[in-house]
Amino acid sequence: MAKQLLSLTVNGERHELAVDPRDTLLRAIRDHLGLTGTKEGCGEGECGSCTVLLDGKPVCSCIMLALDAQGREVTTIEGIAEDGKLHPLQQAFVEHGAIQCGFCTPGMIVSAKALLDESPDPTEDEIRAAIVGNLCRCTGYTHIVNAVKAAAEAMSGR
Amino acid sequence: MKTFEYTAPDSLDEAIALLAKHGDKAALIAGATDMMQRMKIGEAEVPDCIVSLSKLHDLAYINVADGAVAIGALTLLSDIERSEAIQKQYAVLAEAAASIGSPQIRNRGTLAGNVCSASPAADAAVALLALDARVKIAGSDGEKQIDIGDFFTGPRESCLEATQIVTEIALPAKGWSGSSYQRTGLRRAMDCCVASAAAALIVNADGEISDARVALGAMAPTPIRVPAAEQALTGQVVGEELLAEVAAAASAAAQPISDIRGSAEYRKDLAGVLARRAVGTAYKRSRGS
Repeated sequence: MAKQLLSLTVNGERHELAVDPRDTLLRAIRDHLGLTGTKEGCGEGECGSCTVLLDGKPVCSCIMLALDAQGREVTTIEGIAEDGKLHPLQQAFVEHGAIQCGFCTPGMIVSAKALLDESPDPTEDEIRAAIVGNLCRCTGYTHIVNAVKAAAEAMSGR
Repeated sequence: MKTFEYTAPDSLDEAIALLAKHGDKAALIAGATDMMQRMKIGEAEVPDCIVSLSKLHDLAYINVADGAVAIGALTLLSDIERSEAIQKQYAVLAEAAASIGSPQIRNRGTLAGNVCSASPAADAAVALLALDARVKIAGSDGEKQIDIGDFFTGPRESCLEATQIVTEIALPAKGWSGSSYQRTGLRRAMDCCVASAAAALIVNADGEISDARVALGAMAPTPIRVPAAEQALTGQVVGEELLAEVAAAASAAAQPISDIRGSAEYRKDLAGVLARRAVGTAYKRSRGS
């Protein structure tokens, strides 16, 4: 099947890619754009390691056809740091031991960022609900939840 | 994955024309969360042609008018979850939508998609059955509206033909006083429920139920209502004995299968437990607590 043109914005930059209709958004991000921070874990939308923001909302890029992102805005983990400085979430993850192998981390941070954008002062339950689609095999989640709480506090100047 | 042709029509008419042209060689996708996952694990056949509804933004709406709500087919589950109007007047639907998958899934999955999956455990479908929802279907021979109870014909089977598109789910202005969705799963999120129950009640000022709906998920080849429970509730004030009657009627109506998530006996028992909780909670809400 012939390739089709996909125009989309990724981390603020416009791109035009020739994609196979079968290409997922994840494949477009990793293979076409070389942004390999977003990971393929299960490839079935279950683990969340492929999480990116689509027009600001977290989605699993591995079960989304790239062509369905036509004209949309995507933010990946590479777009989270601001002006080369770590986002408070990233800083908090580092400081709170929320990263072990690091594989779930990009997806976790993207999901957590979307949460804080919507709810700047989330409860622990709300944090856990926000990351319920992001599996971590290493940390047991406690440090991750603490990091998100700490980032929320840092971002609100508390 | 087998290769396919991908088209994203700009209008509903164009989508209908494409389906008329390709017939059952084409598959429709909206959020595609169910479809893509099943294609990737080999549970769904990869079609020759995928017709993506992604450009039909006009079909994403929640319109509240005179107590009725019209929900466009492309409305995201996350928007249903967050809708204040739906939380207030149709809590059972907001709760059911919120229980599906994960935030990532709900930010792509649509209400209509959950209905069209026609899974007997489809959370939103069970809630909609308890709300007397109507499904608007468009095809090359025009538009029609059917009761959601007539939409499901078997496990993952509906009356929707290959050339038809669900365009809207309508909630009639019944004036529900209280409603509730109760589900049990093996995990807190990201799984199909083992069992679920939805209840919606109209209760007068004296606490008497004038109309009741009780629906069950994962208890039959399709989501089902429990007429015996509904009749037992009508004209009554809710108390422990009545709730026990509701539970017994729900368990009796349940004809579940045993599968990887639970045995038929367990599910039959759960039907009663969840129906009791759903009705009890719906009643408490209708009394203002």
